[in-house]
Amino acid sequence: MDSPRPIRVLLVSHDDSLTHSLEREGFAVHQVGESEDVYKLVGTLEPDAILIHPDSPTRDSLEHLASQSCKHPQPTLFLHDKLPEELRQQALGLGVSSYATAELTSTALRSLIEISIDHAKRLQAVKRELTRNQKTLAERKQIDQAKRILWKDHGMNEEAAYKALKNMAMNGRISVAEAARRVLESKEKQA
Amino acid sequence: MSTTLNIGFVALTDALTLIAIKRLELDLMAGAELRLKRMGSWAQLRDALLTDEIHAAHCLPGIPLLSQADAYPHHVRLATAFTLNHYGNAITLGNSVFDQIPRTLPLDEGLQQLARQRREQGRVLTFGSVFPVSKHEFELRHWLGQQGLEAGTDYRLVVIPPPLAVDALHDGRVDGFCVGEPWNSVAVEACLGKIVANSRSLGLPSTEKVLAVSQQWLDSEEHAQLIQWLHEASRWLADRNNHGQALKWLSQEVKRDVRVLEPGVSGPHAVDFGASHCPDPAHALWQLQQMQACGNLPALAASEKIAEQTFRRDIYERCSSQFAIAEPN
Repeated sequence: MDSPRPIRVLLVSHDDSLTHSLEREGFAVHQVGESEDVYKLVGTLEPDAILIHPDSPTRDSLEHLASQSCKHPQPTLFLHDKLPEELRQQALGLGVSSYATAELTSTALRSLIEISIDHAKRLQAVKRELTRNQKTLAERKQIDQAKRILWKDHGMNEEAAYKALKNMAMNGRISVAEAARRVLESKEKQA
Repeated sequence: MSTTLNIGFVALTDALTLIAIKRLELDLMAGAELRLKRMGSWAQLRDALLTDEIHAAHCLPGIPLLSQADAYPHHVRLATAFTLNHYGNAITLGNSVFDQIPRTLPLDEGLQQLARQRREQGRVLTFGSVFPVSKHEFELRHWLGQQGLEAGTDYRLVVIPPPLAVDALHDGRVDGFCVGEPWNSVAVEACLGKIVANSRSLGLPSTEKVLAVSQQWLDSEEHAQLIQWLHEASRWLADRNNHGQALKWLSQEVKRDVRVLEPGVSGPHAVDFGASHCPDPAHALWQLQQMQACGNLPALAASEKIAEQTFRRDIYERCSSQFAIAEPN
């Protein structure tokens, strides 16, 4: 891209870290929230490209701006001929939608979208990790509760309680966490 | 026959036919599953149709019409063989308008006067419709024309998606809008404005939403099955005795109180679920001509050929006679 000024990107998102990744790549990013007046923004900022979540209601206003004049950013991601199908589907799945003006070269557009996809993927990985950790934590809590029940109601010590849970799991071909859940459930039914 | 059908919709009163299929469990009784996917915007719904993410959708006729006019890349074509409903839109003007017009003046003269004032102040009157190729935009232009206002000079048009329309009126970003129910009644309930016209009073060709599908899916067994369910659900909805139940379901889907939904189901701005479901190419042609007049369509695209390719009367008749369903009166 031999443009004398950086490519201006309007990012409709609450996610600050995408702004940082795009800025690192030399894009000039203006980040706004969902309920902004896009007519005013597009008029004053004259962005070369807009990145937005595909399910954002604001997209209909952007479609109108695009239909009014070719100077305004046109929808590109899903309808762009030059983008390979694979890239489009991936972006759709990861929550990236974009609008770009005709002047933006396809190389610049591609790099813009690829950075966004890469970013969305990393975000997803972090979320997955978080969910996994939360699940593990919740399971551990349940196991502890189940052990306490076995210990109190059946007079087992901690080690025996754990062994009992493990046996339940092995005999029932279920996880220890599931065995703990069942202990908790049967206790609830008694109560 | 595949057991799962993915159907897109936008949270509006006229999505009720699809919601009713699901709630009446017509799909389950046939050993299938209808999955309703709520879309945040018409753009998202269009992309989901063009990329086969969904099989069919509750759709503005303008979207399949544009696809047949070859306006979308990859040459994906959409069509419809079922009209979901007629009417259901209304025009609401905000307090920003009524507060500025002397009560002694008739509305049209008051609006003309206000348009002049606002032009001089550099804050031209702004009205919202819901999508560039929506009937709402044509209805709005028509009504404002009747009031003696001219697009471009007296007012400007913007697009505000239905769920954000009431907020835009509240924030003063628009002076009024044309949107489907329940959003007019929601604005009135919040004391943000008054309804001045609705689709019935405007009397323009009445086709409002259609079931849009991709061209390849048109002849499928699933599509024929879906049309049967739509007939059954529409007949159910046309019976006023069922409106109480329908309102409860709609209330859960759009997260609004039954009270504000009532005018769009059985009240003065009611969506018509009972009138003919057979696609009417004359209505399609009218929409094409309107799209052309607004500059959204290439010159030669407003043709009877495109209207007939998009509004597939033949498929409607075949699917409907197969299940021996009489046209409602």
